[in-house]
Amino acid sequence: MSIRCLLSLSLMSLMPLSCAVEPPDDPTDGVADVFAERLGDPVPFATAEQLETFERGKAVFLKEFSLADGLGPQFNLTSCGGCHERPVPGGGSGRYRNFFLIAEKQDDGTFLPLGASLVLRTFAYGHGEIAHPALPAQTNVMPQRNAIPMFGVGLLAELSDEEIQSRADPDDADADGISGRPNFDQGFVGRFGRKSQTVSIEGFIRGPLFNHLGVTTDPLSDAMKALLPVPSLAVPPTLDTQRVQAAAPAESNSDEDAATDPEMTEQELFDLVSFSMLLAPVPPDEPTGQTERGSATFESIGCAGCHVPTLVGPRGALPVYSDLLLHDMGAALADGIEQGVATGAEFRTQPLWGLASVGPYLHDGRADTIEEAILAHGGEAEAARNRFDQLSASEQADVAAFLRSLGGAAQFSPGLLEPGADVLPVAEFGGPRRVLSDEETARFIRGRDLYDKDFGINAGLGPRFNGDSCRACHFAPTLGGAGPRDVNVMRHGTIGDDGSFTAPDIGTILPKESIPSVTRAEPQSGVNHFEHRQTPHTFGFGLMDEISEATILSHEDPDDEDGDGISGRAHILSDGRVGRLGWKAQVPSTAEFVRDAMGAEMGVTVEAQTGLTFGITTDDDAIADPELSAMEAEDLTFFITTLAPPPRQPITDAALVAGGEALFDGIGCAACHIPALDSSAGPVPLYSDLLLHEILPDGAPGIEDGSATMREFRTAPLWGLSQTAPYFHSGEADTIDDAIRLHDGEAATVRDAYDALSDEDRAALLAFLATL
Amino acid sequence: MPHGLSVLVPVMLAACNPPPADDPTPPTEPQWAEAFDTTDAGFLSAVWGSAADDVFIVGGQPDRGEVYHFDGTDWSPMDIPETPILIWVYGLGSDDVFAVGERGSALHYDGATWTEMATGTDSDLWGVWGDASDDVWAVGGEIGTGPPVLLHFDGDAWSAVAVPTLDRASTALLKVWGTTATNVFAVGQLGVILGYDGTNWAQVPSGTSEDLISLWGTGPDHIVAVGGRSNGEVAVYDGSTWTSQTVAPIVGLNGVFMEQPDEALIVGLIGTAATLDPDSLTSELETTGTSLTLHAVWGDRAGRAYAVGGRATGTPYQGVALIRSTQ
Repeated sequence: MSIRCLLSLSLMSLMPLSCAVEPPDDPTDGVADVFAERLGDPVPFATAEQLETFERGKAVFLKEFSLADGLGPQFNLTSCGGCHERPVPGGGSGRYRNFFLIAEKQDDGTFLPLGASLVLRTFAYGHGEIAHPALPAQTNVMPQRNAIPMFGVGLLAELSDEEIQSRADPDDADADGISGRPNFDQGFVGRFGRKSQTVSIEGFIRGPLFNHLGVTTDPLSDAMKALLPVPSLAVPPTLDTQRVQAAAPAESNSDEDAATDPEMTEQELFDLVSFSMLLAPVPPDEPTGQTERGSATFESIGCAGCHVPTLVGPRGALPVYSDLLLHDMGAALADGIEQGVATGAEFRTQPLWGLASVGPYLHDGRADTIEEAILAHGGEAEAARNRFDQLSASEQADVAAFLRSLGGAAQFSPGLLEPGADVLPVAEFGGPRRVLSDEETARFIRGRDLYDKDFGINAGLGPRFNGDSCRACHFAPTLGGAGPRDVNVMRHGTIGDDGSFTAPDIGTILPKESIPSVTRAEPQSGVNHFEHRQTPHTFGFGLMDEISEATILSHEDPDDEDGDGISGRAHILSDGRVGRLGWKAQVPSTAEFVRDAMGAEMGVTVEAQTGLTFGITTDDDAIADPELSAMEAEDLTFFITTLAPPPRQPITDAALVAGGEALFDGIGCAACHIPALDSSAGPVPLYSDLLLHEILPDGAPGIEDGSATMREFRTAPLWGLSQTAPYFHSGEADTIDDAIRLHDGEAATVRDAYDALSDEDRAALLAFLATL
Repeated sequence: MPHGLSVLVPVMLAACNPPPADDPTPPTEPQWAEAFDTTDAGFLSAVWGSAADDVFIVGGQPDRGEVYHFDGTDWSPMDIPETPILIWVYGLGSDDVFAVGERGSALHYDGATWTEMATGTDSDLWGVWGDASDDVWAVGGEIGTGPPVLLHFDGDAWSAVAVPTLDRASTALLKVWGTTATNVFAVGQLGVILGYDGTNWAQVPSGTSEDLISLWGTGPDHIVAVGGRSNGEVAVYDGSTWTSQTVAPIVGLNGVFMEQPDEALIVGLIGTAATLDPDSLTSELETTGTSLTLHAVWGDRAGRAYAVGGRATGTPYQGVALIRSTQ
């Protein structure tokens, strides 16, 4: 009998609810006790066992997948937390994590998804993959997506289908101009995703794991499903158990990389799904006069027609501010993506709980502010939008204040730093390299906050970019650090039949993002070579600035006059300065590095300054130039140059490390990776000569940069090595050992010597490197 | 070489509760019940019969095909050569039955013995249909990697037939069915539909990119294809044009069978079975008593239909075989 009841509920969705858990007697009598104090914390009703699962799942959520773990071969992300990080793990993300959906709308109306279940993947490694996967030629639908926060999804999963369907009015029978309708997923009412296209949290996790990370999984077994915090079995053991999460895909997935499928264990997947199900929302703020006025206006102008204040689940009323139904949002917002029954113009009403801390807003993050998001509404919401537009400024402010009061405001950050974050300790990762005066501390904080801040469209981001902040790429292990593979910069160009290199018209950097009103940059015709550039850390840049050009030049041996097979040369820039920063030593100083990165990586224009030549001073977005003042650039430079160099790591086996250090010198590593260069501040232990060396095999293709040839790279500084994986200019090395083995050209002899070491000696050498 | 199931041959499988034909109070609604005890069966992929007392069900475990036969009274496992799991079955008579399966496997039954057929492909074969003993088509492909596979049997040997250039990156054709030798259709992944006019195969517009998994019809202008991996998708052919539509909240569909042009019996995920009016796309859901996937359906034109499926994840696979009675 239970199966009959189950099928009636799941398949005949318009039938009255007769088998599901009954809602409270008076569902409007107060709000369910489901909130945590802070976003990122678990629901208060989690059991002790579930709390342990939550912590394990959070670790999986934050895990950086390596190539050995199964990342790729094509991917957008290396961790779940990469996209769901704002303001804390489980949240949304800045625009630098936006991704593209791709499809072809054919003449007969067929909507043909392309990519990985619509997702365009940006990066690839190995297995015959081109580093930059090509956009399929037939693509004519290509909207962006901004990550959706996940707080409270377990509670939405518990909602009955009927609770959502009760507000459907597909034919606008009440003639209010709003005609929401449900989407469906395997017969259940969809509720997750921008188009409510999914009902299963397991499915909504396995999909992105594969589509964005290239990580394969098997579906959870029935035994594991039965243990999830939200009931997820197709066949409930009793009628008291809901079955709303039963629609998880039953298929395994697989890929072509070297890692064995599935690339995530069932326990890891279970923990990850459980973590997501247990992430709590935070309660609305205590009402104020302004927010109460805003709430009333929100209601009176019709916002609540779709953003219904509460949905009632088995735990009581939830202040979701969404009906979870599909609504036509008009031509301006239409993205052309069809999912389930959703048309290209239909979107799920986005839940508003926790809104304050999870911008930017709308499906593609086109809105910097809540007000902009409201004014971008169209279609069924146009009337409410127009009424908002006609409000006085103070009335609009009331509505915005009310919306910001729906939870999360206390955790709002312009970037990812917690509001009022302390300065990290002197000489630690992310801390200053010396004790600072009060004035210097204030400047350090200004620069740090600017480094962390997401630049919005109104602040000049783009129109094309890689990151929307400095921190977007430089954050591991902390602000100022390196970046994982999913923030790699893509360099590209054309290598002719004669082996010559031609840079594209836009330069060798191919931006991966664009503001939503602008199309993404695609490689121009003839481009045939792509290379990853891993994001190096910026710790110790101030000390590197203090190394004189003469010191760098003193180690040159361009013609290998000493006959050691190593012929480093300085990168002399066109204006005669000596380059020292960047994978090709193409940048001469931190100040220039800041200007270069603001323009090349963020599309932010800088002010012309005497003696500084890098950066762009104009662009073609709508924001007045310069978009970063000279003072702001100087604050940023101060912050970076004041960052401490990477601290040496604790040595647990001094003899082993000493042996490794001797081998480092003995087999020739130190010939290029010079342990220290003199400077006005004393020896700088960066383990680099800052010179260019050919380290790719003969004939290998590459990217020219200034006078650096295709095969030449600056000797990478090794300080901070253990905390800044992945390695090599391309980021293709998971481990230090992998990176050493990728050396060739001038370093081939040393690489072979390393390979010839005994296992014990190699372990000693690696132990030494890990201490840097 | 017969596989291990041969030891079970003498053991007849008890048919489970099919309502007797002479029941004095026949139910007004279709009733579904277990066709036989499938405790030891693998995933059951397909069902076809030449008559009410000559029905074949195929399926198995990943590395072991299985065939079950109904003689009008009992179900029993059949001796078959060693083969991977079988995916589809179709026949031209009780002594001319074809079954195809994973890794290019194909078997033929001559009324007495199943024999292995060489197909020349290692790709999975998902469907088989023929107009005559010397005019049989099989389709397949490795889902996700491809390419789609199209084979023809001329009564003597299977040979590969070139798949026409497709407008999408479909990796597999999933079923083939026709009304005559010159009116054949194949459906597949990403909504691909191919038509065959007796001379050439060509892609025809389907109006959908949802996987189309199976098709059946009652004539050249009454053909229904079903599919969809999440929500059900139905494509209807009126003799000139295919028209597709999502039929949510009905779930993804795997199987279809038609006796009358105005009614298709459809089956799919989560134990779903329903009758569908191909013109209005209105449907009547039926309670099957299972939440397992139903993969195929076939009617004996004597008032009964069979639906088969199970669970094909984890090991061992689990099967389900249901019988639907309307009188």
